[in-house]
Amino acid sequence: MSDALLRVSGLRLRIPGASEPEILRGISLSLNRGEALGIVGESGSGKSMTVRAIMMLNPDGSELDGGISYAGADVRAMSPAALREYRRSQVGMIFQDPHAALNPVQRIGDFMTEATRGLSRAERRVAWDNSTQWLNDVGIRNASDVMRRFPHELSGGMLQRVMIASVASNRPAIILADEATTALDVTTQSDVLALLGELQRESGAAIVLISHDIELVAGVCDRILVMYRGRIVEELTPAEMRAGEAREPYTQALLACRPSISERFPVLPVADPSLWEGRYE
Amino acid sequence: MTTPESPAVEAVHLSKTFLSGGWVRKDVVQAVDDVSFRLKAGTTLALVGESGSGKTTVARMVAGLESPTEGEVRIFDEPRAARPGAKDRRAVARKVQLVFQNPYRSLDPRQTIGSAIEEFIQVHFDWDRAQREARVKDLLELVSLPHRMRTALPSELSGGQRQRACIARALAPEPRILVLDEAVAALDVSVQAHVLNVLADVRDSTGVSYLFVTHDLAVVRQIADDVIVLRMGAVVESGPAARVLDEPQEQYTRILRDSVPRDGWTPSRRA
Amino acid sequence: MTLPVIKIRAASRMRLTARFWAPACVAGAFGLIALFARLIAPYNPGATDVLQLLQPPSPEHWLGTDSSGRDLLSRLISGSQTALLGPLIVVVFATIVGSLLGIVGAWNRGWPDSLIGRVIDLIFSFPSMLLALVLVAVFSPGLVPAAIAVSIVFIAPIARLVRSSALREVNSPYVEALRVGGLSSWAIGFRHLVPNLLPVIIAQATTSFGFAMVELAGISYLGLGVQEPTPDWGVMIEAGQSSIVQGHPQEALFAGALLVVAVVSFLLIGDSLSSEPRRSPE
Repeated sequence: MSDALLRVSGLRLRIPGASEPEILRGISLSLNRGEALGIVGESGSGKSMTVRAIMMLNPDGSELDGGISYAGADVRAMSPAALREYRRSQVGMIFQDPHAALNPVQRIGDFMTEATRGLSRAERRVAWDNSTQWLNDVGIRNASDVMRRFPHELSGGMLQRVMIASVASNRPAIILADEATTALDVTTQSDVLALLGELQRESGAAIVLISHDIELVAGVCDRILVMYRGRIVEELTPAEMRAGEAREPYTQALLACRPSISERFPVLPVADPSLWEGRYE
Repeated sequence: MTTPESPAVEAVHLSKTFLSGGWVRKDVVQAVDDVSFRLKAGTTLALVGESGSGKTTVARMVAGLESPTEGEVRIFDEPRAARPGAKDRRAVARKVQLVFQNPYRSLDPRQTIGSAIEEFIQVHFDWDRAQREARVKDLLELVSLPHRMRTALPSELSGGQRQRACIARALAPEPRILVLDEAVAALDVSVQAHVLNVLADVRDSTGVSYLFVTHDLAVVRQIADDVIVLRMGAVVESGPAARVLDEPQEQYTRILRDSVPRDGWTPSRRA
Repeated sequence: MTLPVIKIRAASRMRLTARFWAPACVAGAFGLIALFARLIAPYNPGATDVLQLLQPPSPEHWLGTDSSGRDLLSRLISGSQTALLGPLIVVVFATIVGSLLGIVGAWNRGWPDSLIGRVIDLIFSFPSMLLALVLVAVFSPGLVPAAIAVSIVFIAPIARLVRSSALREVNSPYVEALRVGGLSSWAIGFRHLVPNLLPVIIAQATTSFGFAMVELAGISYLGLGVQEPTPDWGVMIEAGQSSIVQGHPQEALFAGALLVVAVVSFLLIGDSLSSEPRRSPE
């Protein structure tokens, strides 16, 4: 698989002085063009830190080790200008909380056309119309009205659509979605994920979907990586997951303890960490 | 009068409107619109809905943190006072307790777990110190927290441990009703499973009734006897949990159920 | 009800750094000097000596003498008493009243909050020095009336800060849980709100101490605070002013320098306290 678009090898992240300094303990993964990769894990597993490291958004004072290459280029060695270009047009990221990711006193339209600041009036006009079209494409009906609104005037689902439109309009090769639908209602979540899937098919972008919900990831992705305490413990396909073919005790426990919508358990099987203690050190 | 059949909680035509906006123009927001239900003693009733459904507002009215604009909440056939004094508040607290969604923010960060539980005991029972400490021990045991955690501060506990501490504290006044507002939503699945099991055990051993506010239909299936589906402040559908989830009568309930990721699910765009 | 057996530990031991300890040592030194002024001062600060007027520093008078022949070092040492006592009165009074107003306002949204808010606005809309001067003029000049006048001015910022911090606490789930638990407003206020607001209150009180020192020195300089012959830095700056043109700047210079050092050290302590990391919001 030498043609992988993104390759992460032996990635380690430490935050010296933190109560749990080892955040990532040797992450290796590769992402091919147009593929949908899911990463699942519980809090503290390092799934968010992994995608943030891919974007070179590491916490202050942290120590990064290992390799990240994008289309053959070493991301860690990029100049600030190259890194800006990489973040802007190669890899797009959608966060869990769109409210936090948007400037509260900036109108949606100004946010969408930020990159055209300083250009001529005519060029900005074109950018504005393009952005309006993108909002239309992500299913926002009154797009020209939404362009003039402030973030607090829109619902979470609407804002997440705006974020997707903004990322998609840069036509990135990779979209990283970090718990992008966790804060949304289930019906909106389904809607937003379907939209993301459409964009992916049309543009051929690869997508990395981070979630705590393994069912959700299984419904959307081609491959699933299960993370635990800074490591990838297992890779499996949705079909393997459905067939109960998880090999690792941690994955098995994670799958077993979920309540089910169609069946009530006398007692939920609670994960017993002693089954994998020491196994993933 | 309280009879064996009288419901633990009865909501009678509850409505709640909020005023929002500034001085010039005030918008009236109808958060809850004519909601009625009964929570049978010793059972679990789930209030299900998406954001803006009014489920949390209903829970807060039952817990006495909001007063209804119209209608009333009856606790064991007694109407809840609209503006309770200190004495009424204590009396109601003996009957209804609340567990919040966010276990990180619902404990005083400067108070140890044991002290937080003891404080609730002290408000309601005229016991000496040894009795209170014995009760703290029992409560911690009930939610399967080790006794040594009584001296821990909230910041020293994990999310699941804190939520169990909150449940222990809420059980301290020996309430007949526990309102759980998205109490397992912020927890990891493995922790959530443990807390759900603890809640089932507590219900079996104390006979407490749960009003369980949640957006998660799988959790409803696991814990609830009955369910009420709310949408935009109004009741869409209600009935036994298994029936509503297996054979929803209403279109909205079906959409809600089919949006939940599970075997065979793929995301779909709404029309 | 039985006595409350509530043990409340500090949530996170504040890690105090050199940013706190350096100015705190200076302030502590001032406190010790004020406390033992009588023992330290080489001369009686009120003793005049007509033969030693406006002396430059010498082995007998380390910092020289003033226009009445009084020992400057002794007067500066004794002056630290009023310099610290005045702000202490201000801070104790303003912090207690301001914190109470702030908490009551945050707890009782509605008319009590509106009323308190209006009163705070009213105090804020007055130039503080002017208000203090008017109040001193109504009473009589002196340290205590001046301190009370300044306290009233200082209530406003403390009340406003405590109110906004208390508002955040009052709306947090832990306070709601306590209310549902059946605790009385007093129990929640004193056992939970105050301890959680204490870091904010202490930081603001320390900063206020520094500012109050300047205000009070200003009032004394204008002749409405501490009165001659009581030694006071503000009075000394004023008294030493006329000697400056005669080529004897010591009195005003030394008193001014001490005032600056003391004020800055208190402001730095307040600054370090308010910027120390508090409990993480998580």
